[in-house]
Amino acid sequence: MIRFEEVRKSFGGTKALDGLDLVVPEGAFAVLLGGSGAGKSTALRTVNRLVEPDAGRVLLRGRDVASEPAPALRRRIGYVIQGIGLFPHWSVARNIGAVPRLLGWEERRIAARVEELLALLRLDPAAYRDRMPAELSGGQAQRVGVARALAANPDILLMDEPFGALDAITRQALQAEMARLHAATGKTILLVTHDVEEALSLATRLAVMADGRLLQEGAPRELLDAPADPRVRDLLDGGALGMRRLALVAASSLAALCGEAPADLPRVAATATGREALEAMLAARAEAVVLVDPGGAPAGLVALRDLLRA
Amino acid sequence: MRAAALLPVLLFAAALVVLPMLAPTFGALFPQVAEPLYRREGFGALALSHAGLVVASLLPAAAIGIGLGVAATRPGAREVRAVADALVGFAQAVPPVAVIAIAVPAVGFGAAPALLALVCYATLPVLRATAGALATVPPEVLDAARGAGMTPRQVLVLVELPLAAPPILAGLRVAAVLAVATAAVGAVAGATCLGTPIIAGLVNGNPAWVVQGALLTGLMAFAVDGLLGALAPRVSASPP
Repeated sequence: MIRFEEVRKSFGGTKALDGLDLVVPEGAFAVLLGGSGAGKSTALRTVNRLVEPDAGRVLLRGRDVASEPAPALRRRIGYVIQGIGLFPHWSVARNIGAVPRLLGWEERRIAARVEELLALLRLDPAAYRDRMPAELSGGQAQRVGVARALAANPDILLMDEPFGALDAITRQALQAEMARLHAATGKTILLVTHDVEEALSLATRLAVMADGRLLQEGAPRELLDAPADPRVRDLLDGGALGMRRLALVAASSLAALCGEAPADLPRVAATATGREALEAMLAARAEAVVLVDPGGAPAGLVALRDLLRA
Repeated sequence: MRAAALLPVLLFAAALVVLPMLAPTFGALFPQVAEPLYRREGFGALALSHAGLVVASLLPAAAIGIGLGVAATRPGAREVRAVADALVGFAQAVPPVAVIAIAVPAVGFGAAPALLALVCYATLPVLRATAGALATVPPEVLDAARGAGMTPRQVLVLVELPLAAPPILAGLRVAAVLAVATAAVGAVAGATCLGTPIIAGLVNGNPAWVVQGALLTGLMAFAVDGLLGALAPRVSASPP
């Protein structure tokens, strides 16, 4: 659990954080959303003390982060940044093993952990272990960046606009990867972004910031349905409120059971969102879509009007 | 590539061997001088003592230059940077002969004033290269290093210096070549080196000795440049 208590920070004359209060529950995938200058990166960096607050405090599992030396604290916290920041003079394996090596792990244990993480991030260990960062694409480099952050099995993972510099397709692939990693590891993740789509697709808890303060915090659906502040509504609406709401709903929750599925209807995976179901209907010019389970058997039927219940 | 870089070294070695045999040639070139070949000390001994001066000045110059360069690039070290800049500017403005002239009353004749001047001159390229190279380390790499839990010292030793190594080594190479050339001036204060025949030649009106000293000094500078150039890629830690 991460708790921000009345955290304030000024740079020169500008207030980056103006009394931030926020609680990130254990195991949450929390997303800090806001425009530029909202203070979200500053807030993230107070957790691993790359920024020291002028006032207030940050607690990690009930303990003030200022109560231990910064390097020791940071070795327990994974950190991923937009610029990736791989050490260009070290191989992929050496980069991933950086924090374990600082912690004094045995070489054999580090090597095993590197293999494990490369596999977890879907990079073939034999092919990537010995590459230099300059030999990686942007997406591969950020996979290594995430692996490096996870290497010492940190309590929490901080991600500062981690996919901002990647192209749209790579970004989506890595977002899906992060959702999978979060589900698999159950780690507390705090991610900063200005991208509403990214925030809605990843967050289990969404916190919207402006002018160094928290505007609203809650489940993404709560913020979409009941924005507490006009700025939250403006940020989340963006002319696509209905579609965003649909994207947060599982199509299966809107489905009616069907014994026999009409063969002429389009089919989508049972795990699809309402938005994906709608997209399939629009693409096939059909008024309903059949959900199919991984075995290919029909699992339900979603009609166009069912989507209105989202 | 490497063989080509070592060519000046071979040339210098050959000159050391061949030059003592060329008394008749210099006699023909400079018929007015009674003693066309410099024989007070052997060229090999002069070269060795010259190299000694260079090495003895490069080590402190490297330590001071890299040390000041590192200090000047630490966060919150504006004063150090100002002092280093002033030092660079001042030392560049004063010619080596002046440094030696000022040093002689303080440290006496011989190798000491020459060493002082050499350290002053060789420090500058190292300092400039170090500060410049450290400033080019990408900020996101430093952010990642700190975020990974490296102490400031670990950031410097594990990340900054390895990434800055190639330009720093290039600075050392410049300093070494400069030191070889400047060391000859040390003969003015009585330091034994390849400048000794030059000074002796100037004092005694013997241009043959001047040519011999100048030729060997120049070839030694080329040799050092080639040697360090051949070594550099092997020491460099950065990827191609």
